[in-house]
Amino acid sequence: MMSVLRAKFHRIKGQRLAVIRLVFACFSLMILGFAGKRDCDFGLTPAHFPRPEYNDGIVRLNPYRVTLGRQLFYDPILSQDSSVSCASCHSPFHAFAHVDHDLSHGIHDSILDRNAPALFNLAWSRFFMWDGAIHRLDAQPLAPITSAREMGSDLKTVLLRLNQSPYKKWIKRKGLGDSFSSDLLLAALRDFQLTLVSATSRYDSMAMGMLAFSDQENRGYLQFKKHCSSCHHEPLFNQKGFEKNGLPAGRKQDHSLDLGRMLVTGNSEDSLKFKVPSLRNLRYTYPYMHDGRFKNLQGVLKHYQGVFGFSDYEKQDIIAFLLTLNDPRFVQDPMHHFSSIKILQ
Amino acid sequence: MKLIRNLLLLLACSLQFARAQVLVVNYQLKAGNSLLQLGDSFLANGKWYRLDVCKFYSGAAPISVGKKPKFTWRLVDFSKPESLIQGFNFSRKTEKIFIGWGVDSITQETSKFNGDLDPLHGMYWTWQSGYIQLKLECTELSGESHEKNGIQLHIGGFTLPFKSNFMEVMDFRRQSKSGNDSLQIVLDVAGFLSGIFEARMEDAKASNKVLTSADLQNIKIMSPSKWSNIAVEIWQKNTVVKWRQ
Repeated sequence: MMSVLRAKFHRIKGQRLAVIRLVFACFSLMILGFAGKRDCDFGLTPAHFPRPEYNDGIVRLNPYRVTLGRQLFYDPILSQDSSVSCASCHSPFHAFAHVDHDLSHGIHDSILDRNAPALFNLAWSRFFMWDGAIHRLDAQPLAPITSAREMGSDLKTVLLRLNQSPYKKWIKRKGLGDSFSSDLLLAALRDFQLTLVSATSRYDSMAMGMLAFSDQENRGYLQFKKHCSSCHHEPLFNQKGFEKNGLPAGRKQDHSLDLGRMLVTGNSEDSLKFKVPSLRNLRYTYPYMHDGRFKNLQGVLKHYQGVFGFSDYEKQDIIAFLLTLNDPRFVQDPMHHFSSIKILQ
Repeated sequence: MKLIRNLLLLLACSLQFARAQVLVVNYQLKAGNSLLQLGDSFLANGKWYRLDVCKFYSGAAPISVGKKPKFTWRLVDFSKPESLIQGFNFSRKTEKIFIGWGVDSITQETSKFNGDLDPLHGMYWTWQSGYIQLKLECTELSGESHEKNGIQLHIGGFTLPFKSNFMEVMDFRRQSKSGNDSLQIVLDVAGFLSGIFEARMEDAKASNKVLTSADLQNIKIMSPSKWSNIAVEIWQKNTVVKWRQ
């Protein structure tokens, strides 16, 4: 009888302990889960990519800010007369580049000095704009927003408009703040742009051992490594610095020479140096170079043929390799396109 | 339970004790021996000027061995009297501090765009990226046409080859132990402008150029350049920091 009672007692005690442990575990998970909902790790670094440059590789995105940034990216509310959005120059169907125009244009059809660069893999960039004038991604939107020839607006006006729009209620509901601030606006656009990662091209599949190149692609790859890789480093196919590539100086709209990086540093050694663009998605990002002077890849390679002396056959092989860097999955990804989330309703 | 409660109380008290001691910094402008406010006239290089705009970033950071300084930056704007007295919190363990002028490069790279660092304050170059560390604008009064005779100095640029900030080390512990936790920072605007004029004249001499009075009346530094580097050195020379008596 006593042993039965004793056994019963221990069973009840054990059950109580189990319940206590379960409650504690649930409570901890709840706390962790709640904390985790605020920001989440970037989680978008492909295995064969290096550590992101952005914030020393510590990239934490707020999902609601990403959604907000995506909405704002396509919203002309950021421009003076609500006619121009970021997407006006950075088309998602063209890897966020500006096509069909050698020079981009902004508000009131103002022609700019350069062709808007493609936007992808920005977490791995150290400088932004063709001359590297912008050194942090969340500061970059200030330039087009306040430029008289791009969006023609100013930060105060933009924030006022946003705070008078349905955006304000939405950000409050999502815990992003009671009203729009400079910090929120820039962080939202930054977070959205950080999600623009292009790493699912044919080259990427080859790099991860999932497929093999054709003979022509392999020949092109060898030619690329011989002539192009000193400036276009794998796997991002750009580099952190600035280079001169033998192109003669173009003229800006004010007829002054576009001397590239030298206009930022004042250093004559930086004359005609520009940020080395990525060779990914070239199918979508024509025309090429900082001023869009080459309408197609043939033109680009003809220029480099003069520099490096490769043959016409080798040129075709290089183009075959460059086509492996196109990423249709990235370009067609609906998560980057105009948002279907009805923030403004 | 009682033990836990007492331990928690002890922890709270010790945290309070270890927390802030406040450094109060008072900012002033002068021209020669006279204090200056916006709208006042002053003499520099033999001409009379009116001070229209003066604002700059100033900050403080504790010095910790082996750690990069983490500054708190404040925008000192002489059109806003409330910004001329700033308080900076330090822990009781702080012995030495940096006093800085011009937002440091770490903050430039990583700060949130809020508070005094909000681009809304008009102290951020949107096309160049980076804070304008000092804005000083004066109108020359003795010229024929007053509208165009202006000094506009917008000093900034933090990536090489430009450098637009400077700092000093102050012995905080010794001062606060003796009951003195208040600093006075004074910028001699007349000295600063005179320094700029001298530098311009020397530069012209070195390049065999002749500077007219019109050239000196309309000095503008509006972007990072060798002139902003020179201006920062002159800014530093004409800034005096002292513990208040």
